[in-house]
Amino acid sequence: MPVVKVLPANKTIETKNGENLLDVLERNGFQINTRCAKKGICGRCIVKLNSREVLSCKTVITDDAEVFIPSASKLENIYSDTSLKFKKDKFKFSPSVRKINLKIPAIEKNLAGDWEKITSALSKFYSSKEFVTPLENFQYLSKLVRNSCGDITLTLYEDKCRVVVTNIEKCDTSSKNYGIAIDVGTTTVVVYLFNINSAEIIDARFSYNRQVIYGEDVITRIIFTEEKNDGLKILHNLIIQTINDLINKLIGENHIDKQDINYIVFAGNTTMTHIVYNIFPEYLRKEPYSPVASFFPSYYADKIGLDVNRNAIINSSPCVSGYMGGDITAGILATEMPFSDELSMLVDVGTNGEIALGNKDFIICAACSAGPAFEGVGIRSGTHAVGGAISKISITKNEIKYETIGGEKPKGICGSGLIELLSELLKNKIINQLGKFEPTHPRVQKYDYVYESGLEFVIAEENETSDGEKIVLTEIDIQNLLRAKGAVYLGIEVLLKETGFNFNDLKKVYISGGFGNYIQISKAIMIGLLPDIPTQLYEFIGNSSVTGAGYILLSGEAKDLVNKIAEKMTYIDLSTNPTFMNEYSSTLFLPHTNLDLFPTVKKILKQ
Amino acid sequence: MPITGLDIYKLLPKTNCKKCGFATCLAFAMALAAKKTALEKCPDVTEDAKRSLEEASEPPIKTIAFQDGDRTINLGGETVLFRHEKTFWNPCGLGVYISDEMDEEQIGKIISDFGKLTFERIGQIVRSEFIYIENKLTDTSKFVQILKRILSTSAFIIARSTNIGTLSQILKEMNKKVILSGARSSNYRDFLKLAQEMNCPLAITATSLDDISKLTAEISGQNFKNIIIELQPEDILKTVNTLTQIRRLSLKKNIRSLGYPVLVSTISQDIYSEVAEASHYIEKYASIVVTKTSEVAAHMALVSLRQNIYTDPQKPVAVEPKLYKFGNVTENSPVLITTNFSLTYYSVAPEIENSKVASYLLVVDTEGMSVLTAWAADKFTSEKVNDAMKKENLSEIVKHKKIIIPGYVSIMSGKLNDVTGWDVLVGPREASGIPKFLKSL
Repeated sequence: MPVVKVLPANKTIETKNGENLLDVLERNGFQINTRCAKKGICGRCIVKLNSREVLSCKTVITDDAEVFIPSASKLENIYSDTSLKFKKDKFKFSPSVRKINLKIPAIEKNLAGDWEKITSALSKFYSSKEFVTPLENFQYLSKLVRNSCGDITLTLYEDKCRVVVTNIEKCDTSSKNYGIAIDVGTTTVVVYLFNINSAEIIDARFSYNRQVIYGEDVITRIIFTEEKNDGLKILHNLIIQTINDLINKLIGENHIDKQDINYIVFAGNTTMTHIVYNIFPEYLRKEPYSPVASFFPSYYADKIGLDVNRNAIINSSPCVSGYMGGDITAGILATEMPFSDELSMLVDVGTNGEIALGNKDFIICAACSAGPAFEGVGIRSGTHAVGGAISKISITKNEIKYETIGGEKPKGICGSGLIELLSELLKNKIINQLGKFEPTHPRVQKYDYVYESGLEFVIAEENETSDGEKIVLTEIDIQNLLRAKGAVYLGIEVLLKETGFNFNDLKKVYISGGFGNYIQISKAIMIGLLPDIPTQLYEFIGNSSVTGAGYILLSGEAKDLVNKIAEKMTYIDLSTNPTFMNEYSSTLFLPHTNLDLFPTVKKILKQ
Repeated sequence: MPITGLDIYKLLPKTNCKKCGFATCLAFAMALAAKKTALEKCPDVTEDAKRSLEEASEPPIKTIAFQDGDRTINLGGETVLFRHEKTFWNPCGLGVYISDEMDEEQIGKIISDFGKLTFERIGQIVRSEFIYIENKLTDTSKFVQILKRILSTSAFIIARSTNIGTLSQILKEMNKKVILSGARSSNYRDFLKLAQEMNCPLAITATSLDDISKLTAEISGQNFKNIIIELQPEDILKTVNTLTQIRRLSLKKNIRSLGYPVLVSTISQDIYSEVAEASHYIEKYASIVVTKTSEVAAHMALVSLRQNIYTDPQKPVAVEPKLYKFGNVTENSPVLITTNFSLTYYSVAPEIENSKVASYLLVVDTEGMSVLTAWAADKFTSEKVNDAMKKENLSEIVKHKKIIIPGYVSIMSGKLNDVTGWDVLVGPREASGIPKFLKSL
C-alpha cells in the first residue's frame, strides 16, 4: 500500500493502490481548491508530485510519493459579514423549542403510565394539543423518572396542533437550551449559535460551502446530482460536513454540549434546501421549474446527519419557487417590508441576484440570473471575498490605491472591489460608457491569451501580489460585469413596472448578501447596478438570510409569519418577460443608455 | 393608463386560495391585467368588485369586430403606445380605393389587382383586406354596379355614400355588411339608423379632435359603440400627429370618446410616396389604411411592414435549427455548435464570416434559448447535440471527428465526448474570440 507524504503539513498518509490523489487529500482533511467537479478543466488543484506539477484530480497513486500542496491550491478562508442586525424584540419571544422542568409527585403510588403522568402535567400548559414523542424515549423513560425521583426536564417542540417531546432528561437542565441558525449559501455557509432561553447570540462562524469544488453555481451542482452516481449523496454529505464542522467549532469554543443543541433553523436557496434534506433537485431546472416541496415539515436532526442532539428539530425557511428560496423569504422577514404600508425593495446580490418588492399588502419577486460575476467568478483576476482580495479601490489620475481583506498582499479582486474599480475607471474616463478602455492610459495595455486578446487595466503589478501574478481587469471581464449588473438593475425595473410603480415610489431599498456591507452605494449607482435614488433610502441589512433564520428560531410567531410571506410572494419569471428581453441591451452600458435615468451620474460624467 | 395588476389585486379577496390556478392573488391579478385569464376564474370575487373591475378593465380602445358572413376582422383594441411595452394585438387593415368617377378600365384593373394582394411570408398567409368605394356622382347607378361587383369578392368593404336609401337596399338585397363611411354631426342620424339595423360599423368624420370626441360621445350615448373614426385627408404630418394624439389621449388620459379604431386614406400622388405615407400610418396608429395604388409591389411592402410590427415581441425569436455553411466548406472544415436563439446565431455567424475560415455551424434546437440559459434549463444537452449531429449526417459531411462548443458550456465537453464519440474542443466564451480561435486551429 503506497504511502504519501504531504508537504508542507508534513503528514504521512496510507493510501490504497490506484486511489485518486485528490480523493486521498480530501479524505484526510486537506481542502483543495477545485471548481470543475474533478473533471480536470479548472486547473486549480495543481500539486507537486515528487517535484512535478500535476492535476491532483487526474492523478492516481500507485507508489510511495511526496506531495507538496502550494498555497494557491488550498481552499482559502472566505470572509463573510458576521455583524448581524438582529433586533431582539422584533417578534414576540416564543421559541418553538423550549425546555420545561417538571416535578412529578408520587411516582410509585400512581398507577398511570409514566408517559401519561408527563402528558397530564403538560396539558396544564398546552390545551387541546396532541403529545407525541420518538419511540426510543420510552425505552429508558421509567428508569429515568425513578432515578431522578420525578424531577425531569422535557424538551418540547410546539407547532400548530402538536407538542413533540423530543427529549427527556433527569433533574433540571432547563437552563441549557441552545439553537443554531444557518444561512446555507451556494458559496458561503454562515452558522450562528443562540441561547434560546435568553434570546441571545452567543457566537458565529462561517466557511466555504464545501460543495464549491463541484461547481460555482446551483445549475452545475444540480447537473452533478443527475450525471454522477451518488452525486446527490456526495453534495449532501459535503454540506452536512460543512455545517457540522462549523457547529463543532462553535460549541467547542463556547463549551457547550452538543446534546444541548435542540433546535436548528436554516435558510437556503431552493437547490441548497433540497440538498440539505438529501432530496433530488433535478426538476428545479426543468420546466416548469417546480420544487419537490416549498414548505418542508420539521424533521429530527439525525435524519439528515447533523451532529447535535439526535432528536433536535430542524426547520427550514420556506421557498417560493425553483429559483426563489428560503434565503429570500427569511431575508424579507428580517426587513420591515411585509409589515409596512410603505413600498420597499430587497436586493440580494450573491451567487445569483434576487429581488423582492412590496409592502404589507403584496410582495412580488424575481431571480435575475445575474450570474456569479460579483462573486469574482468568470473574471480573470476575480476571487471570492477571501483574505487578500482587493475590496476597495480609488484612482486619482494615474495613482491607484487599494485595500485588501485582512490587509494581506493582494491575490485577486472580489465583488465590492470590482464595483468600485468600474466606478473609478468610469469617473476618471479610463473606460468609456461602453466599457472600452482609453488605450493611451499608462495602466492600460494589450494582452494576448489563448483565445482572447484585447486591452486590460493593470490593478497590481507582479511584484505587489501574493502569488507573483499581476492583477488585471480585461475588457471581456467588463462585458461580463455589465451583463451581471444589467440583469440586477433590470430586475428592479421590471418589478416596479409590473406593479405600476416607479423609482420615486420606493421608500426603502434593503441591500443584503455577502458583499452588502462592503459596497458603496454611490459607486453601485455610478455603474448602473442600483437605481439613482437618494442614497439615504438604501439600508444595508447584512446577512438577512441568517437573521431571518434567527427570528424563526426564537419566535413561533415569526415562523408562522414567514410561511405567510412565502405564500403571498408572487414570482415573476424574467426569462420570459418582454421588458427584460427588450431593455436588456440598454443596461449593458455604464450606467445605462438613457443617462436621464441616472441624473447624479450624468452630472459627474459631464464634469 | 391601462389598469395594472396591483389595481386589480386590491379588489380581489387576497386569500391566495389558489382556486383560480395561480399561486397568489397578485399573480392572478397580473395575468388578468395582461388579459391572459378571465375574472370568472376567481370564485370568491364580490359583486361590487366585479362591477368596478369590469368597468376598469374595459379596454381604453374598443375592439371593433367587423363581421361579414363567416369572416371577421378585428380592428383597434390596442393597449400600448409602443409595441415593446407588451404587443400590438390587431393588425391594421389595408385597402385600395375606388370611386365611381373612375373609368371602367381603371376600376377593372384595381379589382383584378386586389385579387393578387395575398402573399405567403414566413409561413403565414397575409393580405390586403379592404376595398374602399366612394360614391361621388349624383347618379348612383354606377356606384351600385361597382358595389355589387366588389361585394361578391373576398374583400371587406368600406362604402362612402350619402345615398343611405340606395345603400340600404343593396345591403339587404345581398345580405352583406359594409363599414358605413361619411357620417358627420349634421347627417349621422340616417347613417346610425342603417348601421343599427344592419349591424354595420359606422365611420364618422369631423374636423377637429374636439368635434370627433363630441360626435362619438353623442352616438355612443344612443347605445351604439360600433364606431370607427375616419380622418379627413390632410397633409401627412398633420395626419400622423392626429393619429398619435388619438392614441395617446385614449391610452394615457383614458378619454373613452377617442378610444375607437381609426381609418385613414393616403393623399400622395405617386406610388413611392404613397407607400412611404402609408408606412407612417401603419407605424403610427392607424387601424385601417387605404391607398389609391393597387400595385402588388406596393401592397407587398406594406403587408410585410405590418406583419413585422404586429409580431409579438414577447416570444423569443429563433432561427431554423440546421447545419449552416460559411465559405467553401470541405470535409476538413471545422464544425462549431451553438443554440438557435436568434441573437446567439447573429452574434456567432458574422464572427465566423470574419474569420474567413470555411466552417460549418450546427445550430441545435433549444427552443430559442441562448447558450447558458438553454444549458441551465436542460434544453442544450449532449443528447440534443448528438441528435442534431445525426439528423444532419455530420459524420458523412466531415472526415474529422471534432466539434467545437461554446466556451461557456465547457462543462459539457466530457459527457458530450462520451455520448457522441467525437472529440470536443472548447471554443471561446465570447463570439468575438471566434476568428482568432478558428485561425489557430
